[in-house]
Amino acid sequence: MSTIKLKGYRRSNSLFGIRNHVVVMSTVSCANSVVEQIGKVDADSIAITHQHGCTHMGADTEQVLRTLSGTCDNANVGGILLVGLGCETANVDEIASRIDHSGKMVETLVIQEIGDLRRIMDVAHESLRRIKQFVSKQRRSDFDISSLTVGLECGGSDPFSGITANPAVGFVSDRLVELGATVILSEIPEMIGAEAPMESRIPDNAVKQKLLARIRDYVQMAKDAGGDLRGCNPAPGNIKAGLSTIEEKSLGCIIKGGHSDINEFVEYAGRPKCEGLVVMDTPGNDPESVTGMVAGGANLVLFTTGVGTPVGNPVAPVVKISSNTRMYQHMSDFIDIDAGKIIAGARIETVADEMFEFLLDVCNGTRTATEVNNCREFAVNRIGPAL
Amino acid sequence: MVTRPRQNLEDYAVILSDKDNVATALVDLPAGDYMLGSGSDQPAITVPEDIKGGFKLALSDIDKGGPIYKYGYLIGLATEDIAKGNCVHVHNLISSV
Repeated sequence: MSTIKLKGYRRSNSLFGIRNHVVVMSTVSCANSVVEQIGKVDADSIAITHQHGCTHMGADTEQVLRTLSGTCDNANVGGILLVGLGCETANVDEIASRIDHSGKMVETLVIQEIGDLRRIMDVAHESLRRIKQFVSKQRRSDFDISSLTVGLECGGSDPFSGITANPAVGFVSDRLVELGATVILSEIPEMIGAEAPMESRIPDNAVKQKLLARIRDYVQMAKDAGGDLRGCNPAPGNIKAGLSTIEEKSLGCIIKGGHSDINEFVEYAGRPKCEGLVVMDTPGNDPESVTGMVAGGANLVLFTTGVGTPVGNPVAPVVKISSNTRMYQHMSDFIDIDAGKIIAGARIETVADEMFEFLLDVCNGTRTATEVNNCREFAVNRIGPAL
Repeated sequence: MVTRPRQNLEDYAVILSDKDNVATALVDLPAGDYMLGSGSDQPAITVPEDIKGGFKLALSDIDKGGPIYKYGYLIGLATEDIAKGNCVHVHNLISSV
């Protein structure tokens, strides 16, 4: 089998980052303002804030911890400053203990321990100076593309998504799988009605049953919420573009996964154990879904859109692919690849080749539109209420 | 009067599977008579109203309650009788979930 070598930052024997980000991570929403101020003063670092970290229960606590630590654990991150309040569930020590420190520097800061803001800023500044010195000494080395994990997402879909952009992504996905990489297909509600073409590609019966049960859960959740999926998925913008039902949207959505077998069903923000194509349990909400895949290790995300969206991620480049040329021209600086030219006669394989080459370039350092525009959405999927 | 040369529906729309009873317009599709495939002189399908790019049209008459297929799979059920050539969307198609 032919292989492709890329340049990346070694974190452990099998994991390489295609970026070397320094992250300032808030561990609880109470620390958000402080984290934002640190991020403003230190433009080289990426400040990540969110609405979680405390007063959640059981599986939710585990999911929040997994997402926050998984984001820091992503191979694209070379240095982390964890900023906590001091009394929260998702405390800095708990999160630091879940991060594989190989090839990374992790420091912590607890607001209640330091006290006043001026000293907090001084301590943060010192920490970040050490971390940046550490990451600046790291050099890119060769790694095989099989170490790469790629997430797949579609957001703001239109009827062209399933005809142009998603089939092109499907070709790229199959090619990555052939090369031994890991590809994550996500968005369980957008598999409702598309069970039949997926089932036949899941060799392991336990994986198949878990996925089918989770799809049924989402139908039930929608019914329990007092209605059904109509009116919320497809979203109003999907319907305005011509998508009529969730089945139609789903059948177009899953084409991103190409024709490969599905080897694993991974929990939200969990790290896949299998290579090849896997499915992650994420909602259809784009920022939450992308955040889950990146926390699960995705180095890069291929994201198709019909009506256009800026959504990116703090630590993983998101390659934005338009399904139609009209939107591409309208929102050109948000889009990397226009698959709409398939409508005008370009072959799907040609666009897939262009996308694959661009993916390799992005791995080697080319910045995507989301990176250039600082689109850094971070949203944790929650299971239950806060107390 | 100049008559427009009869055009092939598939120059405007795509049929994603042989099993499908709807086609998806790839570009704005003007009302008129279209051929389906090649060979026939007769209009194979009459589209009574313009159909916007991205929207679906029925390839055959579909009875109320009847299945609607796209990509070769069920995408929902007709909520009213749909005549061949008409637009198929949320006004006459409902999810079967």
